Amino acid sequence: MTSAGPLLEIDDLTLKLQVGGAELTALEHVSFSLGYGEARGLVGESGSGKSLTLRAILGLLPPNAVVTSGRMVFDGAEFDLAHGSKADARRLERLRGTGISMIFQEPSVALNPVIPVGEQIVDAVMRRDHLRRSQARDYAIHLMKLVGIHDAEHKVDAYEFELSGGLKQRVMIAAAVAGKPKLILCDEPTTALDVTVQRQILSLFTHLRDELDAGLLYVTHDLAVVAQLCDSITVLYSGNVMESSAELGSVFDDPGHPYTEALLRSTPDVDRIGRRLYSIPGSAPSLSDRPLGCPFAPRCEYRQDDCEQARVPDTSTVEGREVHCRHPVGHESGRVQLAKEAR
Amino acid sequence: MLRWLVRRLLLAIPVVWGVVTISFFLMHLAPGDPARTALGDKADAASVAALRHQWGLDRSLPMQYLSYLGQLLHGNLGQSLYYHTSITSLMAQRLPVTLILIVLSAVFAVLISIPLASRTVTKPNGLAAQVVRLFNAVIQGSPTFFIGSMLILFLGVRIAIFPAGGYPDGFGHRLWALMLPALTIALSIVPLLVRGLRAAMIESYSSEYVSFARSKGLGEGKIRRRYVLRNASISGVSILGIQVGALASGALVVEQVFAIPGMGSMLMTGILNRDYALVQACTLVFGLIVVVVYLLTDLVYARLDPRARLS
Amino acid sequence: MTTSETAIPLVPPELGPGPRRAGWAPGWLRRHNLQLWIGAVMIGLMVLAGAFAPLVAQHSPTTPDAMHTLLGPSGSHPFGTDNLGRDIFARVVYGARSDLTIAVVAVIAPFLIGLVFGIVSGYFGGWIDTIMMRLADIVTAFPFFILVIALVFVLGNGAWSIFVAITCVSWVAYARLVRGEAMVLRNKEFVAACQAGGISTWRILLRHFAPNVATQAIVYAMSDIVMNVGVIVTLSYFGLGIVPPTPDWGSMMADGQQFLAGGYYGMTLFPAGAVIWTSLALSFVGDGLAHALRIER
Repeated sequence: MTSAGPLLEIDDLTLKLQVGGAELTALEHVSFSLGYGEARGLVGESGSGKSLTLRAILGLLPPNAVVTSGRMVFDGAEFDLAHGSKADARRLERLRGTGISMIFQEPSVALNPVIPVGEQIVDAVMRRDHLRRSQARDYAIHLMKLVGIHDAEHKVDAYEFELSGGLKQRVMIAAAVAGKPKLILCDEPTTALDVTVQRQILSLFTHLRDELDAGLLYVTHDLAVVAQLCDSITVLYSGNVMESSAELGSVFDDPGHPYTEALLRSTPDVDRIGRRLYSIPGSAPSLSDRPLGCPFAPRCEYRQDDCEQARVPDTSTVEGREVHCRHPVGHESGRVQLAKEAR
Repeated sequence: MLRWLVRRLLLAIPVVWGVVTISFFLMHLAPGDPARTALGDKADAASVAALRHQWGLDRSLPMQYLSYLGQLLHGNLGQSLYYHTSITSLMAQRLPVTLILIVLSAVFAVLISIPLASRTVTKPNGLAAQVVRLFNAVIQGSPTFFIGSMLILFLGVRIAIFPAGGYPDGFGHRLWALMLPALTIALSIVPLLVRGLRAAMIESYSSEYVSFARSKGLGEGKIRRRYVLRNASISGVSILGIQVGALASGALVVEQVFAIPGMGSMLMTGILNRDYALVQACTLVFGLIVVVVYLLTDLVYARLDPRARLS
Repeated sequence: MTTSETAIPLVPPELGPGPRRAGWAPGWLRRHNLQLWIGAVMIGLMVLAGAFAPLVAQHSPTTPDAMHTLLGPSGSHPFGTDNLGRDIFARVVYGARSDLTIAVVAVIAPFLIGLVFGIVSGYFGGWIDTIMMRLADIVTAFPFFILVIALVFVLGNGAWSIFVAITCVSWVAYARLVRGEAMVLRNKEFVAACQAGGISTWRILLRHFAPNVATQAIVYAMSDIVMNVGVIVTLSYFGLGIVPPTPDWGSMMADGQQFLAGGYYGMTLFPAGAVIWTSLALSFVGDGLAHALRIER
């Protein structure tokens, strides 16, 4: 294990989508990093580009998406993510499964309906270890038990549509960990599930983190999930990183970006039962009419005249923490007051 | 699975009954007297009356219908006016030929369609894909008999690889003689099959399960075989099943063009010689073939697609 | 930048989300719905040639000329002459008259029958639907061409029995198509809104269903005409269709076949070309329409 430097570093990832002849920028200069064994929450509303970021890392973008710039360092190896670097795309392909794997949002469409689920885990197992099929099958059963499928010996021959949503997601997790990857990308893996099942899957993730020693890049819109599972956080809004921190607690206690603060205020919390939940005024901008400066400016309570001008400079407040805001929360006493009151 | 099969068989019964009934009415739709038409104007009244009696036309319609059903239940398809023999025994000689021809052409159609469809999906803008599209468009517009006569001209006469027609003795020779006819029929459904397979493969390729398979690190070859072709083959089977009617129609045309003594050419003989009973029997058997193939298709489909076994 | 250049190489460019391209024509044709226009022009030329056949063709399609048999293409005979010395160009042009007329006429009745049955069956469901669909199952159990040829045999040769035979068999496809569409529409919000607003069922069917489902059926009709041309030509090829000496592409190809081996291709290839031209034109129009109406085929 190369412990010098992070496990994953994404630098200046910009991605454009071609929609009906127009070209829209879906990700803009997105950068963050992830240490070995670290779990980072990638948080944002729908349409903020979280899933696209994951897919860009694995090279699984839809055909109308084009990475125009972006550099990735994974486990010491450097990759050019930008479209056109075919050699790098091929190297990236080789990482799939064994270096980086991914858990998809909808287990019911991500599993092939006409192949038994066990076989789909076996496919992933065989990718890493050159086992005989029967051995791979045994290992698949072992993995299914590891992810909490009790009668794995039977379920291994089941089809996707014969399993419940929670079981399907467990199967997918088993397939994703089969290649012993160093990094697992999770694309809202609990969104499609019932609340009780969500809990179980989340605790499975916590359990697996200790077991596997893999890094986790966890996409979600749910800050409560991040609080439970992650060490660090990156907040995306409209394809831009708003705030990024290696230390989750600091962001939760003292958000730097007004958007982070607004997100926190609009998250339900047991302590505040009975109080009216905050909702961010307005709606997320569509990709086509994003303002020139800070994309959040039109909805920001603390907006000032210079906010909508040119691109916001990085404002590093503390080591390991980035806030992309000209007027971060907490820097002017009046604003801190306002924020404290709201909380 | 057994219950499903029984249910499926029961559902086929009304269709079989309908097919039998329609074939029965074929003789009664004719304007005028079929017996008179069959024997021509010069025939004397006595022989016309005899034929009317043989075909049962002198009885009431319900009686005719009941005796038709009764005969069929005994495997009796009637007497052929032209061949002067029982149609059931004729059918025993002719049916296998047509069945082999249909199966052979289905195999050819699949063997031709899969690579063509794959090519248009994986390299949609490549030269080969464009050629495939043009080929498809032209073939789709060409009548089957024209494709047949062109194949005879080029592969039977100009470069005489295959026999240009006829049906010699001996299994090997016969199989060889069926190659061009089967290829002709196959070509006539290739455009449809390519189109269907292509749509299914595109759907598969853009599905999340292929993305997931890619994220597991599977190579493109394995993804194509295990995830895309496998899923597309399911819709391929149902397209092929639905097209059995087209294959049978093709057999009718091609047997005539290549002088193959199958059921199709027997039907044509019946038509050209105004042999109503023969036409009736051939139409019925062609209908029954389709019903049976639909059943088989459902069976294969259920084997290939576990979801179909659920309902 | 074009799509093919910018797509990630791991995913074939055509596999993206968004409206799937309908159609089957070469790629260069599909851009900007060019194929609809090319198809329309191609079929328009054929129809005009047939309609103004006496003006277009210099020679009679039926008068034999024993002195000039089996000629190659030349200035006075653009497609050459057949074994009886008749002008092939004139026969092809006059053939368009008979073949296209029957093909188009034989689409109208099945279209209307299928539209009515399909809407009624799809909208009301219940026993009407059950009977309808069983009947459809029975008709489709027969191979299309075999049932048509058997019906033509029973009804006697000629244009009228071809028309009746095709109608008997091909209404089913329209009925099935329309029924499926009608069932989808039935569950749409606006139907409930209409019913709540007290609009009568017949008015809903006429005003909202018929136009909506008809567009699909019209696109299908294009390929149905192609199929009819194939049937008519094949019937005539076997001597069961259009009665000679009326010029027709099928009987022309049947006549030409015996001269193929001798190297006289014109008698077969020109009528075949006319058939393929017509089919190509109509499938371009159909695909173009489907694309314009954003119907997936």
